[in-house]
Amino acid sequence: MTNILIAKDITKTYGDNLIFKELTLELEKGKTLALLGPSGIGKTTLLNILSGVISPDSGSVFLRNQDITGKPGQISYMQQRDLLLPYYTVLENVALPLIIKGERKKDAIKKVSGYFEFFGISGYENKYPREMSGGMRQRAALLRTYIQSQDVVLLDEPFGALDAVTRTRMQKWYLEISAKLGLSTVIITHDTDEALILADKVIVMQNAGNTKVIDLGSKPEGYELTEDFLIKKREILSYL
Amino acid sequence: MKRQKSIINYLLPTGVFVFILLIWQLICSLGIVPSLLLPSPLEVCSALISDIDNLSRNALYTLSETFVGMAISIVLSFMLACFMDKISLIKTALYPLLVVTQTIPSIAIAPLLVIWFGYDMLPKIILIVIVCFFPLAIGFLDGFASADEDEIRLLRSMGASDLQIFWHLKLPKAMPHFFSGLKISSSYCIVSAVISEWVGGSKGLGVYMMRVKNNYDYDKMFAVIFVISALSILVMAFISLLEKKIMPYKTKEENE
Repeated sequence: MTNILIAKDITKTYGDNLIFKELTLELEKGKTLALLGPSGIGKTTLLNILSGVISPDSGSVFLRNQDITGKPGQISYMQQRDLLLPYYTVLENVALPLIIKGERKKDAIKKVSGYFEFFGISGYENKYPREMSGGMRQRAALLRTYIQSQDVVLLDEPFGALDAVTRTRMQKWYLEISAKLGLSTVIITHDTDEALILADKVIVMQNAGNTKVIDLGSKPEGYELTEDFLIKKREILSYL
Repeated sequence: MKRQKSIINYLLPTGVFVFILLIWQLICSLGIVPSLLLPSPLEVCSALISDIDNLSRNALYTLSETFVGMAISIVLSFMLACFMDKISLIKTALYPLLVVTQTIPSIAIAPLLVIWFGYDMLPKIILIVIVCFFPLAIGFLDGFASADEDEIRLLRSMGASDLQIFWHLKLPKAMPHFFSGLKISSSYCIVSAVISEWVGGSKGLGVYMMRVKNNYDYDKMFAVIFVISALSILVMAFISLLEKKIMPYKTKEENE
């Protein structure tokens, strides 16, 4: 398998506070990598570095073997809040990454409108985000994320703000679309079950960038009901 | 139900207004207050109709001052707010000064402006700019500041430049604050124009008002007060219309 995204020897400090020291992370094409760890350990900082919004003190980020360190706009990034802009329609929100890249609004809207049905938000094109439910808003935000970089997405607790039922539905839905679209994902979550359900590999982040990697291997249908799920969960919890 | 509520909201204040007019008319008709001091609503209406040409000419002049003053205020406050948002040192230096300009009573500086800038439109426009500038600049500033870090980071991750962040985030976020400021200043600025005309000038509703007052034409005095109120309401209505056009999503929020 080829690694589509590599973060190599990333070191980051805030004042005297060491966040990571020579942290390395590899994301295989079409796979999902979950980052787990206590609050304040630097998960979001790592996503900010991967997306190029902030630069590391040392180390590099490679996307398809190209150095993208500190260059935003290459990989799309979805945060916990959907951050749909309330004054734009859903269509305009989704087309925003293309408009920012310099496409004409009309062309950008034409390009993205074809995806609405696939993402299950058909009929919401000309509505304002306020008129959508939490789950639908997350779908729209995810579509916007997908539109920006197509195959590699960074998700920071994307379903964290949803109620339990919607969250389970969204996890199932995400598994389906990510398989169909061949998405490569780095996802931050606080929920061990969510990490086990969504990811192919779980990275547990510990102090100063120490990590433990748990490869989940191939997962059978109904994985969350298997004994292997519980074994892996116990292993993850022992590192936290 | 919603429709019924909106009809009640419309009918109730109209009913109260008509009731007050009727009481007023009754007091005058029964001679409780002499008509020299308090003309009846019918006399005011008659004065309004008989002097409509004169009133319209002066109203147009006052409105022109108001619109020019407001337009200059909008441009200046927008420019200053942009600078203050971009360079925090400018914000620190100028924000207290902006607040101080609001403590200066417009009625006190109006005569000074007439002495310095003459009897034409200029001193009136300057006064309107001084009065309108603060609520508008603060509206823009608060609006720009309401774009939160997560939203800025999102746009940055899309590769947006500072100008694109301003255009897609800060400016739309500032619009509700700007319109709140504009509504407040619009009510101030017509009054400021009239006050400014009181202290010196040859045209406008303020000049008309002083003239009819000196002639003891109290019916015309009331007529001009009515015109000033009507103009303020018209300007407010125009701003609300503009707000709905520019921010259609806001109208949907309010309807929910």
